Order: sequence, then C-alpha cells, then structure tokens
Amino acid sequence: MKLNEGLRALAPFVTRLSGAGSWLALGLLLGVLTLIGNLGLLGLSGAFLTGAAIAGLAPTTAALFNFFLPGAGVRFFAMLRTLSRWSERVVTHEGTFRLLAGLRVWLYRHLALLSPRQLAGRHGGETLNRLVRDIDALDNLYPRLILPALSAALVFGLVAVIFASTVPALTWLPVLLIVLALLLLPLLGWRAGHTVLPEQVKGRANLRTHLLDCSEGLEDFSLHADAWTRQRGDTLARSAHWLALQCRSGRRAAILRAATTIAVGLCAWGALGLLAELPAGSRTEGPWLAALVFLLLACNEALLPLVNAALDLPGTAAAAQRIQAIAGQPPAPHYVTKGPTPRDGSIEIRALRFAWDSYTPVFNGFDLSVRSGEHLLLQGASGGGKSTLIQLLTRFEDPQGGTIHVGGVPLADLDDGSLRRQIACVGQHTWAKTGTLADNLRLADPALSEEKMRAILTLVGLDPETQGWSAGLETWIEEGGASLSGGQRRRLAIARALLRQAPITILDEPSEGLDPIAEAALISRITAHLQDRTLLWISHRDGFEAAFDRVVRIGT
Amino acid sequence: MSSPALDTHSLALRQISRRFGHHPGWSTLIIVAGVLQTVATILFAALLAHVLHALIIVGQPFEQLESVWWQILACIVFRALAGIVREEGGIRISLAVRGAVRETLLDTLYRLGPAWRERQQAGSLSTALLEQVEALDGYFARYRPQQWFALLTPLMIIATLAPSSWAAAGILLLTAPLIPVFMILVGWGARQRQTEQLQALQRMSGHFLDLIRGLPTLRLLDAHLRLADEVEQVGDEFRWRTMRVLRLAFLSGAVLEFFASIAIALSAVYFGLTLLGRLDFGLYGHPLDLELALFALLLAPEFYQPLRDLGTHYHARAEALAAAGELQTILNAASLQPAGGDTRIGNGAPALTLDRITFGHREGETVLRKCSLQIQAGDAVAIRGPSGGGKTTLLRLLLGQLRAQEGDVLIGGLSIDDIDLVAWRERVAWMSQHPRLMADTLAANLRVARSDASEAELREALTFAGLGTWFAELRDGLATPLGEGGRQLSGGQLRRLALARVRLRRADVLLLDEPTASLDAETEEAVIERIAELRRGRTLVLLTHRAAPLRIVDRVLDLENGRLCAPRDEAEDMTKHTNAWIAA
Repeated sequence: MKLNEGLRALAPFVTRLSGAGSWLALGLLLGVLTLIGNLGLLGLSGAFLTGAAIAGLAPTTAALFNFFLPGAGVRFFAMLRTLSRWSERVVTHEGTFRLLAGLRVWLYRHLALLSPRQLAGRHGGETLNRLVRDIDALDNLYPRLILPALSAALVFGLVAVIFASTVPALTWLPVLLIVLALLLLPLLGWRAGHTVLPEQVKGRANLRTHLLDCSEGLEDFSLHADAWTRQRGDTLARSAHWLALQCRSGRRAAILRAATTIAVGLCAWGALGLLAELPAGSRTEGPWLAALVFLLLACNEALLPLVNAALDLPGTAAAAQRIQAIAGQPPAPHYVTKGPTPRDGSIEIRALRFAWDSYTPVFNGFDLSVRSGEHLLLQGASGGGKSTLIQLLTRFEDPQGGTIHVGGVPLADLDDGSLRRQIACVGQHTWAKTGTLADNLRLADPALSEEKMRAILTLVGLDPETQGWSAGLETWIEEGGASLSGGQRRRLAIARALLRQAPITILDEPSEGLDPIAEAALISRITAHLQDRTLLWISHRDGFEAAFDRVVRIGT
Repeated sequence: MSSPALDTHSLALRQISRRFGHHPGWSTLIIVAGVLQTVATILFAALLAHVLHALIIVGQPFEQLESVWWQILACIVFRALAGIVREEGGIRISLAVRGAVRETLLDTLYRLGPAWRERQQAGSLSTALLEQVEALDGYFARYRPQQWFALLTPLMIIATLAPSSWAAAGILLLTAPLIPVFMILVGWGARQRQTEQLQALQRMSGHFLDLIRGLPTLRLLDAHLRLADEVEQVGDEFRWRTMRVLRLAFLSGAVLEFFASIAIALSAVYFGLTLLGRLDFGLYGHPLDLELALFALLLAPEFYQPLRDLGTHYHARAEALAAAGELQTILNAASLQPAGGDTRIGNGAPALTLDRITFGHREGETVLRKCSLQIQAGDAVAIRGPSGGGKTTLLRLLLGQLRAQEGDVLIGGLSIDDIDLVAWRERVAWMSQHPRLMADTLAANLRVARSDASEAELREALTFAGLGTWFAELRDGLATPLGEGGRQLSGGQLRRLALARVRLRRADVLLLDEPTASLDAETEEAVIERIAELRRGRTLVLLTHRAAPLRIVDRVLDLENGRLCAPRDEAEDMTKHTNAWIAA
C-alpha cells in the first residue's frame, strides 16, 4: 500500500466523529494542559534554581529575591500535571467509547443490507473475525495517534512561541520537534511498517491454518506417525518464520524509539551549545538558558507514545481499507423502496439460469411452479442446487436469466419488507442470538405473547420442560447458539420461521440430525400447522414422500 | 475478578516462566544494558548540570567546556543504544519462550490424542496455539525485564545522590518505601482498568460479531434493521459501566503522577531556598552550588520513570495471565489414553474383543455398561444406535484413544495395555464422521493416510474412490490446493476423498464412522460398493444409523443403554421397508 492510499483509507474514519467530537476536543485540551504542566514544572524549576543560585551569590540580592512567585508556579504546574492527566484519561476514554459505539452502529447499518456472499466473501468466518479485529484497530486511531500527535504539536508550538520571544534565532529547534511529531514520525513509522505488514498478515494466516490442521486433523495424524512428523515440522517452521517477522518489527520499534530519544536529546544538546555561543549582546540570561534546555528535554515525554502509534499506522490503514472494501459495497441485489403486495402464496419459476462462478452452472433453464397452499418436498443430490434455490427465492442472489414470481409479482419488484413477510425461511446454517430463548423468538415478532411462544415451542418439540431448561423462556442461549445442539438450534430456527406466519415457508433440511421417528412426527406437526399455506420442504433423505402433496427432484 | 481465579492464573504464569523463561544469557544482557542505561542517565544529568553551572555561575567561556559538551552527546547516544540492546534482549527471550511453548503444546496435543481434543470447545485449541501463545509476548519481552528496573534504577539514583545531599536523597527516599505500595497500587489500577476495558471491548465485539454472523438469519426475519438500535444500546451500556470503573482505576496512575510531580517540586523548592540561604541542612555542612541542585532536579523524574513504564506495560501482564491459565490447563491435562506396551500384534487381520467394558466420559456418567463385543478376524460388523449413544467411543477404545474404567480391550488376543499402540494404529484405516480437508495440496491431503505413497498410488486411490473424472479435470493435478484458500469439495466429494485415504492405508482393520452420513442415495450406493471391496481380508467395524450400508456386513448389532445386542424386529421391519423403497 502506498502512503497516499493509506491516508485516503483513513480519512473517512478521521472525520467520522459520531457525536464524540466535543469529548475528543476536551480530551485534546486536557492533553495539552498535561504536557504544559510537565514542561512547565521542569522548565520553571530549572529557571528558579538558576535564578536563586545567581541571587544567592550576594546577600543583598538573595534577600530581595522573590521566591514566592516561582515557588507557587512550581506547585501549580505539579498540580496541573496530576489533575489534567487524570481528567484527560477519563475524557478521552469517554470520547473513544462513544466513537467506537458510533463506528459499530454505522458499520452494522451498512452490513445489514449486504447479501451473505458480499458479507462473508470467500473465507466465511475468518473474514468476519478479521472485521471485528479491524474495528478494534480503528478504535485506537484517535486515542493513540491523532490526539497525542495533536497535543504534542500544540505544546511544541507553545515552546516555539517561548523561543521566538526569548531567542528568535533558535525558534527552528522546537519547530523541528513539531515536524518530527506530525511528519517525520508518521512517515518513518509508515516506512518501517508497510513493507513488513503484508508479510506479517500472510505469515499469521499461514501459521493459523497450519495450527488448525494440526488440531482438527489429529484424527488422521494420530494413526500415522510419519504424517504427523511432517506436519509438526512444517508447523514449527511456520511458527519460527512468524516469530522472526515479529522480531524484525520489534527491533524496528526499538530503533525508532531510540532515534526519537536521540533526536530530542540532540535538540536540547544543540540548544545548550548554541545558546552558550550566542554573541555577548544577545546572550540569554542564566535562568532562561536553563529553562530553555530543560523545556526541550521534557519534550521527550510527549513524543515517545507517538512512536508505537506511528508504527501501527500501516496496520490501521489496512484495517480501514478492509472495512471500506466490505462496507463500501453497494448492496446487491438492490431492492426497491416500495413494491406491490403479492396476492397469494404461489411460486412460478421460468427458465431459471444461475451459476456461482463460470465453472459451475447450477441452474440452466430450471422451471418450477408451486400452487398457493401446496406442500412440496424438494429432493436432490448434495450440491444439486437446493440451497442455491433458497438463496434465489429469498433474493440473496439474483438469477442470471429467467424469472421468479411469487404471488403473481416478479421477485425483483418486491421491497425488502414485503418479501420477508411473504417468505419465511430456515436456511441450512442456523444461528441463534446470544440472549434468552424468548429474545430469540421475539426476533420473528417483537410483540409476541408468552402463550404463542410456548405453543410454537411445543409444536417444534422444543418445550423448555422436555429439554430440561429450568429457566423456561428465560433460558440463556450462548453465543451463536453454541450451548444448543444442532437439532435444538434447527428447531428454534423453525419455530421462528413459523412465527412469521408468511404465505410461503421454506425449510432447508429441517429434520437433519433427527431419527426417523422424530422426523416423521415433526413433518406431520408442521404440515398440519401450515395447512393452506405454501411449504417447500428441502431434504436429501427419502421415506417421507406421503406427507407432501408433491415431490420434485432437482439437480439430477 | 475473583481472587482464586487470579491465583491459579498467576500460578500458571509462574510455572510457564519457570519452565520456559530461563534464558540466563539474555537476562544478563538486559540487566547489564539497563544498568548502563541508568549510569548514562546519571552521567548525562551530572554533565549537563556541570556545564550549566560553569556557564552561568562561574562564567567560564564555552570553548573550555566544549569537551564536556561532547561528552553529553555521547551520553545521549549511549543511553539510547543501551535501550535498543535492552529491548533486543526482551524480544529474544519472548521469542524463545513462545517458540518453546508452541512446540511443547503441539507435542502435548499429539500425546493427548483426538479423544481429548474432541472434548475441547470448537476453535479453542487453535486459539490457544496461536493467540494465547502470542499473548505471552508482552510479559516476557517488556513487563518482566521492567520489573527489575522498577527497583534497580531508583536504588542507583538514591545511591548517587545520598553522598552529596542526604536531603535530596531524603525527598526521594521519603516516597521510596512507598514504591512497593505503588507497585501494588499501579497493579491494582491497571488490572481493574485492563479487565474492565478489555471485557467491555470483548463483549462489545462479541455482541457485534454475533449479530453480523446472524445477519442472513436476521434478514430473513426482517429484524436486521431493528437490531441497529440494539448495537447502539449495547455500546452505550458498556461505556457507562466501564467508565464507572475507569474513573476510579485512573486514580492509581494519578497518585503516581502526583508523587513524581511532588518530588520535583519539593526538590526545586528545597534547593531554591537553600541557594538563597534560607534553608541550611542536608548537605553535610558543605555549601550548595547550582551544579548539585540541577543534578538532583534532573534525576527526580528519572527516579519515578521506571515505575511509570511498568504501569504502561501492565496490560501485557494481564494478557499473559489470562493466556497462561488456559495454556497450563492444556500442558497439565491428563491423558485419556492407555499407556500401551511394546508387544506387536501378529500379521493379518486381527480379531477384536471388548470384554465387559464400562466407560463414562466423566465421573458419574456411564456411556458403556459392561459392554462386550466379539469380532472374529476378517469379520464385518455394523453397529447402530442413537447419536451420542457411545458408538464412536467403541472405536476409540479399540484404537487405544480412550481408556475404559473397567473391562479389557483385546486386539488379536493381546490386551491393549501390552501392545505397541503406535504400531497398532498404523494398521487401522479410520473414516471419521466428519472428514476434513487440510489447507494443502491434494497430494498432501492424501498422504495423510500414507506418507510414502507414490503418485501412481495416489491416482489409483482417487480412481478407486470414484474421483477419477473429477481429478482428470484438475489443471494442477495432485498439486491442486484444497481447503481454506484453495478448492472446496462438496460433501459427497469429501466423503470420496476420505474413501481414497482409507484405500491408501496399509490396513488390516477398517473402522468406519457413519461413512455415508448426509449423502444422497446414489453417492451412498457407490461408497458402499467400494467399502464392500475394501473389506475383503480385513476386519471391519462400521457405525451407521442408515439402512443401506447394512447389507455388506456379516452381523448387525444395536447399541442401546450402553450395551450391544441383536437388533429387535421393529427396527428390522424399518430396514426392509427402506430397502424396498430404494429397490423401487
């Protein structure tokens, strides 16, 4: 990635403040005050000591020396530093939390309109995991990079003003520090980071898949020692490579940190020499000499936190770029805002053509017509297009040719809401929300009564009582439904779909994981419940044809 | 966070440190570099104070001071270079620790075997192997070295100041006994902050990820837009809850900051007043000059700097603590496998016997109850039963991947406790219920079954499993990448690939776990036909809940309530019914 590309990727996230702007501004102000306290404390102390030492040379000047004012100043800066440091942390964190909540809402609203294919891309779960890591990386943009850089630059500006009013000839020294904070450090960080970064991303992904193979493939490896020896060796080599990359970037960070310290030290050291050699007439007085050198020395504290942030810059920019790439996609298929209402639960598919990619055509002139109220069993070999048909009917994908009508209306004319009201569907991958059982059912209908919940759970055979869930409807369901068995998760999904009371219900492998007897019972209860409404039951299993009005085999 | 959990975690981290963290060479380097760094800092302060004193008070011309001035530069550079060396030492130790921990984890994983792995939460192992090992980095690279200097550096500074001014040393010393208190305070504050902030972030990310994963489902329920409000609400709630804790936690940092500021302010005021002649103590009767005053002033902030650094590295410790707990659980896990012996079983297909086996995965649970099974050499047996009923457990017992609580497992007449388990497993072909692709080439995916198989043998196995036409269309042939980042296979193709793996094994025993699950009737037929071919001259145990595979076995047994028994009639009727349907 080039620097300007990186900056372009970051720009929208710099300006997206989501109402946290005033908090961040206050945080910046407090950050500046903290640094002023810090610089002031050292600078004034140095000046005070020097002044006192000069005055102390003679008893008369010593008696006249006003030590109350500098003494009070020193105490003031000490308190300022302590108080503003604490408030700065509180305020910036408050702002950051607001910022990152806003970022998530913004991202969620964009992602909600994308199709599953746009959302997960080619790598499925890993893409989403990375997405979350990327947002975390962007969360750090303000508190770690922008605010410290700005407050450092502002304070250095102040130092420059002090220099300009005392020794104008040396104003370039603090200006140099400003350039260091705003330009040089980010640039150096970028240079150090952006070449290693792609290698690191690749190295980590590589190591991850190898480790995953070690653990998930253990079943096979445990029976064949030679294969394990090879896999183990490969994996450790990847690990060593990854560690070497980390070592490289760690070393760069250490060098950059050292270079920054040297740079600030050089400024102070140079100032000392230059101030001492100024021509006699313009020579700064003793106290100023000490104060200016001390001021420059104290600047180090403002710069050091910037080093790490600068090194993270390429990673943050890459994160911004990935988020933009996902969230910036226009939703496809595109939905109209308001469409007609379908008249019944019929489905007409004519000359359907669809392929996921050019190698694997799934449909080539497929026809299907389903009467309103008909119960249809769709059978077919695995990979025959059953699940693809669902994606097309729920309009997660648009066909490349042919037409689909539901209730007499072309699918593409329906708005999102009308289509969801028309078709209820359970896909092959079922998901449950982290929350209570009732929360999960309410996803189908926010105003659902408790009786209705219990009735539907009984229908799908998921009574909390029979499942041994003592908390009843308040039973907690873990992330993604991990605390449920596959069968339970599926039945919960069916319950939600039935609650939609849509004219058309589509269930993909609803009885997967059930034994034949339970399967037969589930079929009879669901078909009875959906009397007079259209049902598409998709299964690769045989033996239950009698329960349906019609059987269609696809993909053969 | 409750303290017992913390204690087990710190114990785990200590164990990991003791076992993997011993690198005397690098540790010495870190200490030497760190001490030299402090020496350079002290020298720098002394030289700077000297030059300022000479310029301002003595009025010496700068030309006479130029050599000292250059020495200051040397100190600045040397100090920074020592810092690089110090960090390098930390990086190297962390590297060595992470490499060794990962290697040990892999070996532990292999020793514990697939039956143990199966009990772990999905994904938790690869997280341990990657993320949690990496989480040790900050602790070993930065926190642990910094711990030494949080004590060493202040001591060195006190030791430098005390001979010239006990008052200056006293101002710092006044707060020095508090340093351990500070360390605890900093630790407490940082821990609160860390756990609270991290948890809030993780929960927020978890909630967000959960919803994003569920988006297709939410969209079908038309709930996807409604839940944007929930995202906002969750964000607000976490902010509110976290900030309540953070406001307090930041106080610990503020206290440290306060003492550091006070030390500087007090030093300045004390020396200022002494210079003006208004105070006269603490200097062993010597007169005070600017040089000493500035020297002490410059060292005051350095006294506290290592402690403040420790605070910023504290999150590394919190991360390592959390990771260490999980890692140590794996490293200390007890094996579920029998130890085995060194007797090799005879050539040819062995007889397999389970003799009154009782087995439960955990205390109080019984999966198998005095369960017996007798399979003659070369026999084929199918076992049916409900999922979760212990069918796979039977196979694991035969493989020596699980140890029965009671009863004997005999392979070819020898007890499993006496035979060489590695050699025995090499003679078994196993088809798992969920065959899996590795992210590697087709050839590597096949050589998992036999590492020395020739390319011709691989091709033959593919043809045998019915993947011949599919293979012929692959442009890259055996080098075609499969799995993540490569070509994916359909369920049926994957099952056939597993069949090709079975074909490649030099096996005398076939253990097949649901070899036709979730296949359509046509593919199922093809797979069964191949298994029928493979079973000749081998002992076969086949687990299934489907009817079709039953026709190629000699005997069918039902696993019910932890015991094997002959099938009941009703079930057989069903088999006939299904068979009849398939025939029609």
